[in-house]
Amino acid sequence: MSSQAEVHSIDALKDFRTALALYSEDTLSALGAVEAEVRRTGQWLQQERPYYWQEQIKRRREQVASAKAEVFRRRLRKTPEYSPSLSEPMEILRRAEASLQDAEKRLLQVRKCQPLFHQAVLEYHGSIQRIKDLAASDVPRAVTVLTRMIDALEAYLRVAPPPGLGLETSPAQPRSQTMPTARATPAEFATIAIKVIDAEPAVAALGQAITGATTEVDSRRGERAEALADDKGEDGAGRPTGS
Amino acid sequence: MPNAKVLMGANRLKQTMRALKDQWLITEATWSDTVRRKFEDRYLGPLDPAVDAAVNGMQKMAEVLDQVRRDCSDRSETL
Repeated sequence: MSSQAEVHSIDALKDFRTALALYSEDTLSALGAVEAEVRRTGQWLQQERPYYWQEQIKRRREQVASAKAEVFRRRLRKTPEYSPSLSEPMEILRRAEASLQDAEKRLLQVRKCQPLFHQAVLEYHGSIQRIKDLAASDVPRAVTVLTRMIDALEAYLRVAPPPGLGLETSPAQPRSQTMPTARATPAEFATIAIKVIDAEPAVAALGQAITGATTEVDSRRGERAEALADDKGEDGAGRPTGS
Repeated sequence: MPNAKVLMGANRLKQTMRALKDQWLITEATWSDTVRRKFEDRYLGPLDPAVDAAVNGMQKMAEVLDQVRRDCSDRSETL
């Protein structure tokens, strides 16, 4: 693997930059959707459920009281000659009491679930924190690094390389998106890279490659200019004309 | 049944990661210097384990949400 910048297609870099941007957006969106669902359940559990079950307990207590009253009324109507059926009101009472017990159990369950849910949410947040940070910070930073590289490479393509240096990029196609291997880089590429490196030690190699390549280009440009000056008897400015 | 919206989120994370990897395969074929390796190590390498951790966390959360809904709901609400 070369230590110099060796990029064959700016289009591919651009496509990947777009893919990175979409990745960041999609990931944060997916995390946001899950977070919304977790929050919704949290509110349901912390606020709505206790109120709901407390109300249900009140209502079901009333139903139990009503069922008991009906049983009591039937018992009062009992005479030696007439014995009203108690099976139906007793069944209603049994159901009402079971329903009340269920509501009381559910309220206890809600209170028991609250701290467990809170703990589960903390653990969940711990599990997603890394990807959230990466998608929110590192990936956009990667997009910035790619953008700087793309800008520098495009700037390089707009600069005419001195003939005979093995730099095959043609100034006639300054916007060419699929480029021949760029084995050297222009001065502005180095400047950009140095700034990137200051911010991002991980891409330090970019700077090394660029610095080496730029030195090589400058040296070759100097040699070429001297040769031209000798041939034509002119003072070589060392600036390639691109022709 | 684990919470469907949360599982959908986990699936989206996996799909998005897969799409990025596919695009990277195309890109790395056209970029062959040491900077590419550094770029990959610095920015792309950490994504996979982070996605795995998040997907596991989401799967657990989906089960917790389902359990909470089941334990704290009124049976008559779901009828």
